[in-house]
Amino acid sequence: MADHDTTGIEAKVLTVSDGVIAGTREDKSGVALVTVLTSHGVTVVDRQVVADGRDNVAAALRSLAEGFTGLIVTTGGTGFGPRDQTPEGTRVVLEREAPGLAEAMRLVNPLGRLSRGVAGTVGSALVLNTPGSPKGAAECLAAVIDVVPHAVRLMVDAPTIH
Amino acid sequence: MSASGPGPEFDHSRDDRFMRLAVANASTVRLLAPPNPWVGAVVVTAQGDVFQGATSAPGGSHAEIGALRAAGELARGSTLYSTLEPCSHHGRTGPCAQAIVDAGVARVVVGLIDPDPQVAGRGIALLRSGGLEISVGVGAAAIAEQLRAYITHRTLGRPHVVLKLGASLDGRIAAPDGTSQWITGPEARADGHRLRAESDAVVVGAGTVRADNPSLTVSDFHAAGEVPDAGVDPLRVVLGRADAGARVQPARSCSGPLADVLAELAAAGVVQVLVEGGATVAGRFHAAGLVDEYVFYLAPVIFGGDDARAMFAGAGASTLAEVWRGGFHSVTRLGGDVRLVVRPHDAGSVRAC
Repeated sequence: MADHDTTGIEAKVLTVSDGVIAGTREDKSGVALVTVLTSHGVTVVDRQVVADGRDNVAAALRSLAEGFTGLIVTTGGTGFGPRDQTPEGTRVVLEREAPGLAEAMRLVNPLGRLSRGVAGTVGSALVLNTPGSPKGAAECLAAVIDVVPHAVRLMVDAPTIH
Repeated sequence: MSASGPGPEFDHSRDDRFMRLAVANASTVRLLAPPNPWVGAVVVTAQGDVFQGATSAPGGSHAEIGALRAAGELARGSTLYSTLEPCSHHGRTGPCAQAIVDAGVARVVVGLIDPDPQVAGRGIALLRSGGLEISVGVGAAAIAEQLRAYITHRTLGRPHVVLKLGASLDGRIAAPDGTSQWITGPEARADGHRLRAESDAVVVGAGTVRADNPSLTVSDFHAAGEVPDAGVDPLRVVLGRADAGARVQPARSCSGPLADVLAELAAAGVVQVLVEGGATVAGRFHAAGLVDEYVFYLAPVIFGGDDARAMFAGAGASTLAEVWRGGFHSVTRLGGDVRLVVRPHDAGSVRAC
């Protein structure tokens, strides 16, 4: 479903994982997200890894979103473990939530019900939380990527009052 | 700076785009790659499929090999992007340049020539003798910035030295009674932990160990129940002697000229050291001209006198003509504080808050 509309859109990928930070795990889900993005013609301009935790996620998202127009996809930290605080960290920085995108991502498979991921906007960046498994992350992103260009364009074009 | 002429279908924007992705891939392995360089790679197949690679932990595969493995048979006829020149020597792994030739890659785009004397252009030569088309220098400025510590280590034979100082607005790091925790806020301290995690060794003076008894671990990067094993916690180095019971233990005690200490650390695979203070150690590194990057965390706090502890101990410049002058590399707000990154002789631009 290569949609030519996605070309020209830029994206950043944030992997939230204690294991990847510690070097005990490879960042396979970050790579899975990059693969979905590049196969849709989206240009991946940055990738970062942070440890789990609300403050880590919030700080990373703030710096990734600063002066950036496009898509920021996170992977990891959306479950029920005590260190799973990606949605909480994301909410700290979100200006407006986009529950429709979060729900559409949850519907991709039965395990989606266990993802607490959120979606929304920070400045002119659209943030999506996806789960930590490579398959889950790729499926969730694929479920909404067709509407991403439209959303990003609206964030830039819509008249705003500063 | 292109080593060979661009091919007929050479497309600058396409090369820039994929090299930028390779740089992004490299940034994910900044903490686990040292003492190897943190390199990113991308393989773009003839059909347009894109595969990723990044340096594994020491002993694992290099970035180019990771991307080639991901591409498998599709690597034949592909373009490979690598932020750093593929290696040409047998280290813990075989030479990447030969693997690239063997995989049937048609074109290789390299960001930087590897400054390591063991490579230094030999990888490019090997690729060229294999008949591959080569472009060098794409994204070179961003990659030189990303690999700055590695370049210092390989070209100067000493670790890249970062000096961190948390201080009041009037440049004081401790009150007259010795209290210093905390002048800066949690965001600045968390950023300090990031610096520690990026560093392979942390240097602190014996006086600071006695006064503050710091552990110098990377608490923000530690997960409950997860034991980091890829060097997230830096080697702790005390200039002088630390008590056996100090929280900094286990630590390496060093004495003698700083240049010798640094050479010893470089040989032990320390690519970047973070100098954490206190004022005596900061003064010694500064006076010796051994600081590659100064990171100041300044809080909107004023001691308001000259009896609080200054950032640097010892005699400083005695006349204006002798003051040290550097350049601001970046200025960033962190919570209620400001981070100033300053480099020697750097006309680099200031990024606004």
